[in-house]
Amino acid sequence: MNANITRALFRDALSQVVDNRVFRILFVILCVLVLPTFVIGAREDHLSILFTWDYSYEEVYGLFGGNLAATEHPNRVLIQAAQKALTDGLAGTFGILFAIAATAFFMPRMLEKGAADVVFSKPVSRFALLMTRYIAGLLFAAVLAIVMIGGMQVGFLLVSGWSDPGFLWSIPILIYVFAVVHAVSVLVGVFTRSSVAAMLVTLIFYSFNGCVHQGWYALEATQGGMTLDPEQDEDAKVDRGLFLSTMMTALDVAHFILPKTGDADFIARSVRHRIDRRGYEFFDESTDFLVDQPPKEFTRDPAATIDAGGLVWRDTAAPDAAQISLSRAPIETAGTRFGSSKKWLNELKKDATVSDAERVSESLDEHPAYAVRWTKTLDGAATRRMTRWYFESGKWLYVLEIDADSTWFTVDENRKRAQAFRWEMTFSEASGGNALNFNAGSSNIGLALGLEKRYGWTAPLKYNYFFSIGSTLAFIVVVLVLAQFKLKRIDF
Amino acid sequence: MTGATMIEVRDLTKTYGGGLFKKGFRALDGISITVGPGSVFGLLGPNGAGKTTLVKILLGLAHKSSGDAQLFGEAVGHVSSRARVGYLPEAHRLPLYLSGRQVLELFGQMCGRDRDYVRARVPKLLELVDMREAADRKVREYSKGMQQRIGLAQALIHDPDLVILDEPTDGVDPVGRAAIREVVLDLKRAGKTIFINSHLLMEVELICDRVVIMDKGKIVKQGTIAELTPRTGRVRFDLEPTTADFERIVAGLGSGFERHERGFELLANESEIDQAVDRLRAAGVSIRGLEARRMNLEQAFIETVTKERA
Repeated sequence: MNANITRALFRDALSQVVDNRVFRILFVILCVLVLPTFVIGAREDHLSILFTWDYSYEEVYGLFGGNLAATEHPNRVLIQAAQKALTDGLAGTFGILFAIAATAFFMPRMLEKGAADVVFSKPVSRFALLMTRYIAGLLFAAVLAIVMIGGMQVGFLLVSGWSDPGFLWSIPILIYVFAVVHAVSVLVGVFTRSSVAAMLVTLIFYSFNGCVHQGWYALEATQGGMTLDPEQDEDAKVDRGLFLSTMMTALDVAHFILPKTGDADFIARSVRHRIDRRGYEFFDESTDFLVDQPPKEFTRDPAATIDAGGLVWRDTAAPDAAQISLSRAPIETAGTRFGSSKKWLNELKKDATVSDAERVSESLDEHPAYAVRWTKTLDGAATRRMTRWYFESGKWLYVLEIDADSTWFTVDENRKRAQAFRWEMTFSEASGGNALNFNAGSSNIGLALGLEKRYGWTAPLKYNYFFSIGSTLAFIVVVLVLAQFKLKRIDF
Repeated sequence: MTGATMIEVRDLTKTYGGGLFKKGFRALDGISITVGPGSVFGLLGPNGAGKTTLVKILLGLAHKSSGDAQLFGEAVGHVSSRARVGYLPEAHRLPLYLSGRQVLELFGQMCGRDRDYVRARVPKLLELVDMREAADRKVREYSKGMQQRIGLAQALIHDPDLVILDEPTDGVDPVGRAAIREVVLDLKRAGKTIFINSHLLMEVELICDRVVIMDKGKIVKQGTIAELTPRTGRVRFDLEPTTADFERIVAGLGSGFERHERGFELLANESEIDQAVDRLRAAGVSIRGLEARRMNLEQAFIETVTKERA
């Protein structure tokens, strides 16, 4: 096939997409949805509408009965909520359904009597024509995904000063999911030459496929308690009798054969997560514990490292007035959060310069920790207020310490800064949203981390993302080969 | 098979819907034809005769069951063999989302021509099929006749050596039909090989050098127009003056005398014709024309098909 033919086919595919009425409607709807990102700026401390009217987040959240106290980064929360609503809800569900309906006719219409005679009598192979219609469908989804996600990214960047490159991964993921369903649509279109059949069967397939994987995940979850180690599950599996075993095997087979569209969301999160890690203040590869930003208006000691004395940040304006440090030691030698915090409290109690020492159970980003607080009197009348959080992540015992002059804490703004820093620490993506409840033994890690550990890039074949992507792509190839097999044999 | 032939078909058969326990419908039953370069070939036959099936096999749109079919010396079904063919299908549907001009550009490039070549050729073809003014309107806005004319233009956009036209004047008004006929005659003068499948026998008679009549998947007759339209035995005399009493002059010669405005017609053998000429000359009548009457193609076609079915 020479370049002229290829160009012509792609131009034709684009013309077909642009002419599509549903495409135009969706395009306009998406533009309308993206438009607010260009006119509403979500700044650090206020919302700016049309660059003219400013509203504090307290006012805006108050309108919806929200409580800002729980939101340390209101702009981030707002933007991420908008991103999630549009990608997961609109694009991921309705968008895919609309796209199925709007592209189902691509193949059947080309195969209609009269239309097929003109097109298939040209010196172009049937395979090329099949692929053109397939790619036309992908273009359909791609243009809409780019407009929506790319538009939002540009809008947030220009108007809110917010950049989230990981969010752009939603574009290939949406195309990836649509590539699966569109391949089925093309196959049914070739076999039945009916747009209605193509649309209905594809919708049924999409739902059925989703159910199979949900069912598979659910059954997996009931097998042996779902630890992070699949081998432990194997040991813990219960004999469920012939019927349930057969069902489980059938579901397993279906899961292996069918495309894993349900994994797309997890894969996107994983990829985003990996991209987002770059530029973080601190990230523990082995456990996914990360510190997003340095404490506000604190400067990090350049020489300090996590394993050599720990990371140390000092108040930029008054370096001696306040410092925050993060250090770690292996649990094997340092002990658990419980033992270490208790031991430290006991030591404090022996110190005459220490008063108000207390130890409480607290959580950091829903991660269990023990906080030890005390006040230390220095020479003269000066006192320092100190807090240490002991928590575990993987094989490490971490200690986060805030050490500040007592007068420093009397300033509201300073207290807020110190408090806000705890929000910069995450132990996994907080926005899990999956029904599975992972139990990682002593460490209650979050869902996405759990998923990534169990269903990650390095997980055993059955749970591996590479396998998920590979088998999904293989499914697409098989479906298209079947479509080509049939198309080649059609007498027009 | 010779490389010089445009189309060569040998013992071609096509059965639709056949299976292990099903006989199927035989649309083509041992067809053999040869179409040489520069000729205008007409394919005639009643509905269901297999004409369109034959064309579709030639263009790779349908698969043969057995036999051999070649285009330009290459087996049909090969993509490359279609590069030199322009095809106007019967009841075609062009992409509704494109304008007439875009249709020509698309199909020109799909035939492997580069964009500059196609863009230079589009205005000429739009002119040829009288679609210049409507060129930038969407196909969905075209009338049947306009779609037919753009369809013809798309078949010619890449300057093919062989043009296959399936019912080219279908749905076109008489003026448009005459225009299309003129286009075909231009192509014939340009030395293109034309393969026409049409119900309109008058057109075929006017345009084609050679005709095949098919029925029930078989060729029942083929030859030149002259070969397919035998003499009826009647002779037409065009005479001057036209007022003379011709019936009296040729009384007793032949039979079936019929007067017409410029003379008369008579069923007569050669000797009777000679005698009629002598008598007319002796009566001072000038003979302006003398024509041995033939069947027209429609008569020949009906007679052939009827005889075959009987």
